[in-house]
Amino acid sequence: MRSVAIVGAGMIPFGELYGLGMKDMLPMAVAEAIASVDNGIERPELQAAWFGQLGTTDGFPAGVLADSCGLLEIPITRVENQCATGNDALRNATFAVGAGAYDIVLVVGADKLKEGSTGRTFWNWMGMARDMAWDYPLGLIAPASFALHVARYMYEFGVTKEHLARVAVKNHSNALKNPKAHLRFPVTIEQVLAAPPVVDPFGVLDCCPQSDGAAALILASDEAAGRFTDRPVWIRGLGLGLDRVMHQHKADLTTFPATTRAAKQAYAMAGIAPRDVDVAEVHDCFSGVELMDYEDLGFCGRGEGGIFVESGATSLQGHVPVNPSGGLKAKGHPPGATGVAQCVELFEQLRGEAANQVPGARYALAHNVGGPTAVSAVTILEGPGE
Amino acid sequence: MAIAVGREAAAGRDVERVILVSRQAGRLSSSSVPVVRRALDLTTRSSIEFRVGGSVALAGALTGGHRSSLVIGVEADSSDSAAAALIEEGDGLARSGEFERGAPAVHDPTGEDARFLRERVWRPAVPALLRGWTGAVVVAGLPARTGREITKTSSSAARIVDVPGAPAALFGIAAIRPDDGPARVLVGEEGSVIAIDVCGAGWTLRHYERPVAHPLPPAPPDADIPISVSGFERAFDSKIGLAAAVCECGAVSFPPRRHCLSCGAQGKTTPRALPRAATVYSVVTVRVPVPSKAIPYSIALVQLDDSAVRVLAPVTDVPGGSIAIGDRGRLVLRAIAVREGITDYGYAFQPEIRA
Repeated sequence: MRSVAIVGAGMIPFGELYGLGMKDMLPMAVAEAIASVDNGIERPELQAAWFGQLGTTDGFPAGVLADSCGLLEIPITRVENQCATGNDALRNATFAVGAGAYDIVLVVGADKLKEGSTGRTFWNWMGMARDMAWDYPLGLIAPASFALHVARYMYEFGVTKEHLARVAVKNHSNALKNPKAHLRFPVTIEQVLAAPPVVDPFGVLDCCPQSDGAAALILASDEAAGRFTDRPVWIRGLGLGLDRVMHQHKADLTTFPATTRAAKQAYAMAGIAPRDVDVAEVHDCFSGVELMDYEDLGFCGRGEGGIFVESGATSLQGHVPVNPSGGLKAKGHPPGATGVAQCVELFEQLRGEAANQVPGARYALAHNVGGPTAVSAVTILEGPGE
Repeated sequence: MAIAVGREAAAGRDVERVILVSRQAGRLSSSSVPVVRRALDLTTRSSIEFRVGGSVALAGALTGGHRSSLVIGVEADSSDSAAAALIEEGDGLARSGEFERGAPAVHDPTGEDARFLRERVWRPAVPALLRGWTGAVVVAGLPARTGREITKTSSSAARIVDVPGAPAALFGIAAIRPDDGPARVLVGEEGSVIAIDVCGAGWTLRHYERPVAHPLPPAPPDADIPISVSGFERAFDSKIGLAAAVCECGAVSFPPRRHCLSCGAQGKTTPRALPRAATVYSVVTVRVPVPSKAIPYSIALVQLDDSAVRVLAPVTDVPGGSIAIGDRGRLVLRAIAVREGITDYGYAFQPEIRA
């Protein structure tokens, strides 16, 4: 497979975007990505698009992208893979370019969670992730699905609510400087611990917001990339892992096997090890999940997630800064857009243009885990170098 | 709850007739019949009947002359309780008197209507129904304080059973001690009180009782939780019977899988009932408002005893947030949700009461 690069990346600010419909958000994100291309790109140069959207706001996703962005002449495929949707859209687009079918393609991710009421959203989204006959009526809402894991994880490894709170404090702090973040306010450990409960052990400040958002990337083959930029960001590793869909069938809730499977594939493809990762955007939909991600991605040993965040290793000054954008926790989590937006942040990190720049970052990792904690995508990027 | 006590009372025997009595029997429907049948492991030869009413209706079912009947009383309002008895030949139960007034239905045991019932029903009924009786007395189905007050003047010291609704009659009979000799049980509901005489010989009451001491949160109005009727039907036997699929190779799957993950065979399974005792592997408590759910509510992933099977189950009969990993309990059948008007049953985790 030939090498594939990201040559353009853009996103709209995440938030409760009541004034913007899906047909407004998509062209805004695509325009941002086009504008970011160093040497410019014309819309007709795009040869195909992959669109990650979990929901179907305003109907038929691929058609809405084609129609709203004036892309009627190219094939567009909608990708849906729960919270791994965005990174899986990137994965499929990369393979198409790598295989030689196209030279220049568009990847878009978007979702709109604030289009309905919060309570209604719980049931609607559970319908996409739960067994209809057995589990759906129990009311295992998304935070509860993850809390089943985190509660057991805390029990087995002595991880405390303070450890969880440190994730929220770190990611909120990072979001302060990110103009695209949904929640731009600092929080303290005391505030996180005292916040109203959502699903034990998560309080409201342990949870990501329900966000609207859209993000876009422009990919080019190694031959084509030089026309657009001298500083391409290379897609080096891609992984997609799955797991049992019902919690009843997951042997060990203290780990996400979907993540370890995806990470194993991505590290092998990139030819690097976890210690080579300089900066990461990982799935922190709920604070404790980021601690489990550290372990599943190999940044620290089993059961060490709590100590690891406490040590500062994942803060901006640490040896593997995690979620410099603010993460899902503070930047926001419109699922289809999330993975794409992670790569927007890492594109900027690897080109030295990020708001919270990690000095000298060469390898960057993006990670999602979601649905009924049964799917994960991992993407590894490499910077342009000297 | 009704099923749990019914299983215990039936003790695996063949039952010709099941009579389920509840003040909320109107909430049951014809679709509940197969649920009861499957959950009690009954054959289609058994008839199943729902009766709307309280303890008086249940007492009527007990003394109605049916043999080999399983009589179950259950209430699932502010005062969850259930009891069941298997009526057989020579049970020694007889209705010995009744007192009736046209008092209205009330479900507020502390309100003004309760005072009305005490004065206009119970106070005149007790002496009337105990006239000339010298044996033991049990009064069931009224608040303990009221019961003590109105039985003060009766000739025999009365035992008071403070359980409302249909199960009260069975709890009353259960309160009779082996050395009591002949005993008279007064049970009342709304405007009626009836007396049942129990003579020890031949009467074999298999009962199970579990009045819940604390009020549960009121159920919110039913939101429209979608259902797939075909999905409901496919899951029915294994879900209501708590039955796993066992492959020819011995692998156990629950919820049942058609494709065996051990040997790869397709559809070579037979159903097998799972153990009901379990230990909490993980548990969460939802405290944020979710339409159609009463909060807080807990959901547990429980490990069944002597089995590799885990079950994801709502936690029942205790307030949300009151159990922890490692707690013991058992799975009991409950109405989990009302979905598009259809009651969806499944197993819930009932923790052991901790000291």
